[in-house]
Amino acid sequence: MKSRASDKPGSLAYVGKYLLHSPSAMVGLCFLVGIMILSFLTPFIFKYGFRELNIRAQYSTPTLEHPFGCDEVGRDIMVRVLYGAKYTISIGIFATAGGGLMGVILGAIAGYRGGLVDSFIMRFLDVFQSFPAILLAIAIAAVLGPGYWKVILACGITGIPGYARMMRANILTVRGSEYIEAAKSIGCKESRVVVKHVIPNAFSPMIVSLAMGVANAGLAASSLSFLGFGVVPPTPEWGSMLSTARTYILEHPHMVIFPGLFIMLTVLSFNLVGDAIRDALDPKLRD
Amino acid sequence: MLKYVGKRLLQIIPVLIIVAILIFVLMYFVPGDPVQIMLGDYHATEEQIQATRARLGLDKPFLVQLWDYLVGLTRLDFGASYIYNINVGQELMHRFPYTLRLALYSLVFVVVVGIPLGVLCAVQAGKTVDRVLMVVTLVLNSMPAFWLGLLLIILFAVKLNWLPTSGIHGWTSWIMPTIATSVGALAGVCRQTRSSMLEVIRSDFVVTARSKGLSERKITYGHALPNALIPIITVCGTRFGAMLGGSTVIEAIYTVPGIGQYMVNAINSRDYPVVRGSILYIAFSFSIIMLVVDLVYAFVDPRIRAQYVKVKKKAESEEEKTPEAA
Repeated sequence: MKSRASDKPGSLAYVGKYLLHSPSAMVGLCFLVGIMILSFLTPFIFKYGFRELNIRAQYSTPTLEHPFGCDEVGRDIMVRVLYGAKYTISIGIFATAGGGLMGVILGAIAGYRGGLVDSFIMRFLDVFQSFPAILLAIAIAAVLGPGYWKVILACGITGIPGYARMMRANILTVRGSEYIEAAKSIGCKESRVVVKHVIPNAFSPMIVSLAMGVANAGLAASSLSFLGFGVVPPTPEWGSMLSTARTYILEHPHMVIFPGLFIMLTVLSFNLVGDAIRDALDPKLRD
Repeated sequence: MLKYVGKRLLQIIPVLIIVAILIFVLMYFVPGDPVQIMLGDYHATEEQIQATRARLGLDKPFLVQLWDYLVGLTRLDFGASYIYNINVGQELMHRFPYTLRLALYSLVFVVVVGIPLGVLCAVQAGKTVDRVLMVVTLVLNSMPAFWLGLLLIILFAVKLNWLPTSGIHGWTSWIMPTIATSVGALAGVCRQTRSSMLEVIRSDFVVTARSKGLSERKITYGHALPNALIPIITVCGTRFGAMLGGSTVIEAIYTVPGIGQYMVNAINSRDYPVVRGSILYIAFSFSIIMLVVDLVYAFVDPRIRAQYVKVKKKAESEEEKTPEAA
């Protein structure tokens, strides 16, 4: 897919135009935007509320009335799944934004300052990377206890070491390049060099991993909720819905299908968008 | 080489000490009193609560508790579980083989299926097989492992009744957990293999090999794949580490009596020694795996092997120089 954009490759406008011309990215974006809108509009569209009990429809398998079926207390699963979209998506975005910001700052400081500060920060991050990411998230969530913002914190902190490492590596590459030397030699102040030249150039490779990070953070959040350490019932977060549905898996397997399917579609959409951004930023990868 | 391994092993120790301290401090500030939870159902008197506290050593000052814990760790003593009063170290030794086996089976599955599929995609790039596999792997890569685990239960245990739903009774019990743990990694490895093979296939030495008249099979597996292996090993290694931790969720679904399940139950019952022990145990094995991955690089790529030797020589020459400078 070639973009006819005359913008400089790598600029945000260029990436934007590239995305508009990439069918898979558009499918992903449309799904995400669509489900977000639906999520906020559920109270106005559907005749059932997301926490409306209906004992007569208990365990109802998918019908025209309830396309995704009903759960153990007769709540409509479709309404709950759509309403719950905002949790997984917003947790993914907030956690990545927070973790990414912290990571970028730490990585930038470590990479630009070097020396003792660098080794201190990197050794500290080593500790966090000495166990699998999901385990770190579980440990943090266990300490914080369940709750929406706490999951964001747990998933956000988990992402920091990876982003910091990447940012540090980028800064090191950029710092040694000739245009930085040129900027310095024409008498730019150090603050100007850092803010105007080093950070923007070191940051653009980060965009891809941040886009992919949203998918991972959303996935991690729903895993936490599934284990009971994240967003807890009765909030219709997809992971916690699956956790409840699992109890009834032998008798009422339909309860398991849709929450998981929507986690998958959401993660897939973020990955599609992330792939397209990567292609836009790195022309080498385009076939 | 041996020196490098020794150095890396030594580097693991301070990291583990900091992990131990960090986990201890964090767990100390977790809301919820373990003694209350233990005795919650029995309407315990104040004396009973105090006695339990004293028995568990929870009445001592924070720093004393931390010190006792660290001293215990030097003797590989993880303490005793609050709830079951069983030595955590022994229990972890019992349970670790389950977690490790699950991760190892998954790794084998990923390598045996994922890499050949990736090679197939690269060789057939742009054709139907490639396109279909790319879409399938993209979807599988986005699939939450715990959902896949539940779907497998519905299909193979509930509908077809072929495999047991939970627990470990014989080899059939490992099939579903292994698939659920490995499918995401398999998709990732397949995609990575394809892209790094595609890069190598275009290089000059492959053209040379082809012009010599070697069979396509020999070119692909004898020349291209070995040179494409480094990024594939990276992905396999990180995925293996992730599987070790991610099996927590899978163990919970299939009630595999591994470390993950042990830890999740312990978090819910505020059984701190168990939580601390499990996390340390996994952190240790994770660090070892990352070391092994680095060593595999050297095994696969002679250039990296040469670097280790060079580093060694350089270090030696520096050692020789220092006394002279002084």
